[in-house]
Amino acid sequence: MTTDNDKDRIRFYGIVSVVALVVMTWIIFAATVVKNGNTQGAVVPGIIALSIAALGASFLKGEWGNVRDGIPLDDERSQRVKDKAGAWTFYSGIYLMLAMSWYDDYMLDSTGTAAFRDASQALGIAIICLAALFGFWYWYHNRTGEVA
Amino acid sequence: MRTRIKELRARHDLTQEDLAKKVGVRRETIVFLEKGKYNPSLLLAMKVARALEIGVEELFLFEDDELEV
Repeated sequence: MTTDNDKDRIRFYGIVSVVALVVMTWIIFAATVVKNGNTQGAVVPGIIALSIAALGASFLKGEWGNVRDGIPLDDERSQRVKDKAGAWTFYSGIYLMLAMSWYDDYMLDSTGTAAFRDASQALGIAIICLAALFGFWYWYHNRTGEVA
Repeated sequence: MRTRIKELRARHDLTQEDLAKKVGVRRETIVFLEKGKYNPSLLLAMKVARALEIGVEELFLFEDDELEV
């Protein structure tokens, strides 16, 4: 019979895989940029990869302690925090899209070049920003504890 | 809302982590419950009350105006 702790352990390994995948994606991106002869362009993706790896390792270390001690990865409060963070990400995501659209127009008017190379680049940046916003709102609501 | 969780937890010689494990929640949830900053579900309130061997209405204390109907 699968216990809740077994499910949490499986989920934990899933989270580890996702963090590793995200870090590897940024490393591969940085390596590709270097390979194309733009060494300076690899600095930002490299810093992002290192930051995610450091934050991820610290977060996973804490969560592993919980899973090992039989404390759940998720409970009713963390679920409410997640729901609230999701709602706030949606609201702030609307402003993000408006800001990106305004920035693109502004750059086009002032420099004659669009801020984003194409729709796919704009979408990629929007997804990264939304993920960061979700992380921020999760941290904020978890810290303040205002989830009713 | 105020709670007597901290007081009763100490009386039962339980740490926040022990109580969290007993009722199956994360330690932060116990922290926020103790501070009165989190209104738990009825099920969690009953579980915490049972773990601390007390009635739920004696564990979670509300001001009269909070309970006004």
